[in-house]
Amino acid sequence: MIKRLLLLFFSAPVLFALEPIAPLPTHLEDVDIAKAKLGRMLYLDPILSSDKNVSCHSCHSFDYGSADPNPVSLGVHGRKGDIQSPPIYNSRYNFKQFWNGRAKDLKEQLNGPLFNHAEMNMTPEEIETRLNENRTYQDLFKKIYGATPITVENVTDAIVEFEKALTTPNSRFDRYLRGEIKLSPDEEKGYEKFKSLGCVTCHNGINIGSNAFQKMGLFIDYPYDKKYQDRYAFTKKEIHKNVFKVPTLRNITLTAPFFHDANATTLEEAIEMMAHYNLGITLSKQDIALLVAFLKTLEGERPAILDLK
Amino acid sequence: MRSNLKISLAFLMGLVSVFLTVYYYVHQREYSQQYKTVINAFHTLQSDYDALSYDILKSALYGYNNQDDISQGARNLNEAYADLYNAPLFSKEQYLSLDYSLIDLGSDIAEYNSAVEHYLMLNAGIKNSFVFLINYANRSHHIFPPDATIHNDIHAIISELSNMRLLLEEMHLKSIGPHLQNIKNFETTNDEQKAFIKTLTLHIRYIQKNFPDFIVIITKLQDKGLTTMLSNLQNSFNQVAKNDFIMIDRFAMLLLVLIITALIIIVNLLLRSQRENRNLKILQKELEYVANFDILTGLLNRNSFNQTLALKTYADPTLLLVNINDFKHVNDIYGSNIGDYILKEVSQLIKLPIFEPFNPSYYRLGGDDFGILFENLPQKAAYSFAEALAHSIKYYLFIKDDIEVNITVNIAINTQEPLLENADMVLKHHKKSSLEAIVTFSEELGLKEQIQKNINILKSLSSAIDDHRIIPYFQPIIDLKSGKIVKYEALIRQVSEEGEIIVPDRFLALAAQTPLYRELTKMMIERVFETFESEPYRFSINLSMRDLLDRGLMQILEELLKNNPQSAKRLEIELLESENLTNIDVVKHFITLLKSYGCRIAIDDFGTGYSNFSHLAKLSVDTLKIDGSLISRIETNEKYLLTVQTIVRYAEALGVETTAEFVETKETALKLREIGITYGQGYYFDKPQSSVVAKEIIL
Repeated sequence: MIKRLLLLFFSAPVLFALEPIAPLPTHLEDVDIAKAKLGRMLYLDPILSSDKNVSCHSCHSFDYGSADPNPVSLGVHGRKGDIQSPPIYNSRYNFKQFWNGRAKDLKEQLNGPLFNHAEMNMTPEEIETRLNENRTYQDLFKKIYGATPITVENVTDAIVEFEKALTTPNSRFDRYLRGEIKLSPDEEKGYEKFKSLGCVTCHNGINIGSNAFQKMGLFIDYPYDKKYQDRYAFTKKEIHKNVFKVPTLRNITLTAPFFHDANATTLEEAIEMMAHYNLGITLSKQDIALLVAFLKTLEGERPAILDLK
Repeated sequence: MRSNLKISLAFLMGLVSVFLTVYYYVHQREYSQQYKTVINAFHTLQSDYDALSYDILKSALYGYNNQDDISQGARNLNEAYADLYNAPLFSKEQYLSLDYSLIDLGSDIAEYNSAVEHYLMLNAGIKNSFVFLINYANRSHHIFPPDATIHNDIHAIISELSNMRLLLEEMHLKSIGPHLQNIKNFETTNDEQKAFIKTLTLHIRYIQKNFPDFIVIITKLQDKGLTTMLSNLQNSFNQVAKNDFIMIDRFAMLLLVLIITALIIIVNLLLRSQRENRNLKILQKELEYVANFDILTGLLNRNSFNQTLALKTYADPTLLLVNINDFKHVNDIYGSNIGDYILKEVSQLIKLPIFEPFNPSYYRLGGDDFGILFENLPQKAAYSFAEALAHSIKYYLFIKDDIEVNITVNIAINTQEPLLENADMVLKHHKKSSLEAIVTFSEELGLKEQIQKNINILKSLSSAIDDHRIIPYFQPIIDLKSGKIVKYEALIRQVSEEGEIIVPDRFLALAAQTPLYRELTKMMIERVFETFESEPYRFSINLSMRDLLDRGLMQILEELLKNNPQSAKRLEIELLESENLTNIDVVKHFITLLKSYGCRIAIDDFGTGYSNFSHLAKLSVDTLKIDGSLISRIETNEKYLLTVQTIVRYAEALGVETTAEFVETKETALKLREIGITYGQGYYFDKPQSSVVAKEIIL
């Protein structure tokens, strides 16, 4: 069957399906608000870092679309990270976590930064010790989880619950997809370009990306630097060198700098580089402007959980 | 097998089967759930795989596509596999053999997923490149002059690539080489043309480089390996599971057999207990019957009779007690077979239709005693009923085995309590004294007083024996020729506690029917021997022929004879003939024995009763004692005299002496001497005295 359909594909003009991008849900039904609020508290609390200077928020700031404006983040004692911090918003919809997708979900992801030497540098025992000494956390955990003492599992659970609530619904583009508004002519043309140029072959789905791996430099080789943990670092397959999870384009206007190595500082620059390396084309200034216009429509609302009392 | 054992066994089996049923239910349910879990996991895995394949197809088909479904599909596939791998059933021993296949499946799924990832990477580039190439082919006419050779090369490449993607073959890649070289070699100074050529070359090269991989990956994705593997694994699993189900089935069968066996045993026990209950009831009825009925005749028995009377269900009852005369003889002569037959016949004969109005009930009260109980029966009717009954039995012909037997009955009629005892008493008394078949009990018969008197006599006799108050009296016997006392007859006397002398007429006949008789005889003989040890006279003692049959008594006598040989020679035994003397040989033998000790034998009371002349001839008798009833009448009646004379002549002919009793007058004595009687005895000579006193006799 596959062969038959593939032949159909190659012999026929390109077929167009339904829109390849899905809007974010406006309401989340599966979030335990109490836990999420506890998670928010933990997310913001540097108590979870060994020197008590770094919180989750230090590197995934709500002010920058939950990413880090620095090329690499600074962890405990000013230690530098080795890769650009990706945004947390909407990460619940990522097919895998981290740039190279080594964690299968949010819970697994959380073990990375918490116990990384350069990031928060904690141990599970230390987390438990600290939180169990804290009266506020004691009360909150007891109230929400019923059990004492506080365990790492419950800490992780609360933060994950918070992260699940970090979605940015009702972007202009989502509303356009839902038929609520019309895009401006430039935005619409930008979207058309986005599709016809082939950006959409990788950036699609609810997160406009983050549902597959792709090689950085599909057509023209991108400089390889092994300090960046790519897919190869995880699978050790030659073809996975410079392969990363396709990043989400939601809130892309807020999360500069771009790429794993933060090599693009502006959106125009990033678009130009993507066209060059991954599409094998050179875009006109006009096309880039149209694409930027489209990408701006992907900026969503600030997650409601952040302002929940 | 014993019932207790069976009950225990049934109980045990019941218990075991209950336990096993619970075990079976739990086990079976758990197993079924686990089995379903695995089957569901298989189905989920297959359907997730199908869905993923479908989504991949969709991504290949559409120009642009939402790949979320694919990433979600891959995740689902992994989860479905994890569910399958972690299914509890696979940790069971018999499923461990599937472990390798399961792990293989896992690595195949992982491989498939990474192939999907790889496919997505390649697909994006290849898809984009084809779109670009087609667009660029169109644009080339605006960029290059219409006669430029590059158009041909571009079209040739597009054509080859189109063939390639149609046929999904990489062989066409080689043929594009020269055309690509032509394009690269195209000389131009135009920047736009240069840029065009550069981009075109890039995409052609991309396809050239990646299409072989793309074919490999597509081939891999369309490979049915995973489906085959999944279905093989599922088949292997079903094979193992089938064995498990067979085991479960066998277990269920075993359980069923166990339950059925237990049921059969229980049913069997129930049936048996029912049967035993029935048998017990039958037995109970039989016992009740035996308790109340006579088995031989089917009549009510004595127990029933007593109960009926005790319950006083009969108002004014009358009893007819029927006794078969000489029934013992019937049994002795004809055997108990015929005896039983007669009893059965009689039991039916006594049910006369004329009895019916008086509510008769019929009983067998003893061996040959039948009773008929009536209610409100007038006295006259009772008598005529008894007559009719006696008559009908008397003339009834009992025939059995060609033997005819005649039976008569005596019937006692009684209305006085105690019914049976009175009737019995009167019947026994009556049999001795009367030939009448029927007798009616009444108080006037004084039977009770008679019986009381007898009891008193026996009591006093018994105490006399204990106190040695049985003594001999002696009466002299005279030689009529010489007038001298020649011998004494010893006669028994009882001395009462008050010292009164009681003659044997008052007790001997009665005592003869009791064991006291032997004691009396023994005591008597001993005393007599004591007396005559020191006396020179001959002496005689009385024995009945029946006494000779008493071996114990005879041994005592023989012992005395041995120890007193002198006395023995002076002893004369006066034998009294018995009515039913059947064994004359024993008598003969005894007489011979006595004679060997020198004893003499006399026949007592000869001339009356059962005097038997033939016996006289057989037995060597020494003396005949002529009965006193003849002697006392010879003076007044010629016939008696003649009789006595005949006896004397007969005795003389035999050479036997004669003695006359009851000689009370001188005339009689003289007469007796005249007709030739040897000895005389009687009041004329002397009364019996307590001691031997020689007295002068004057004849």
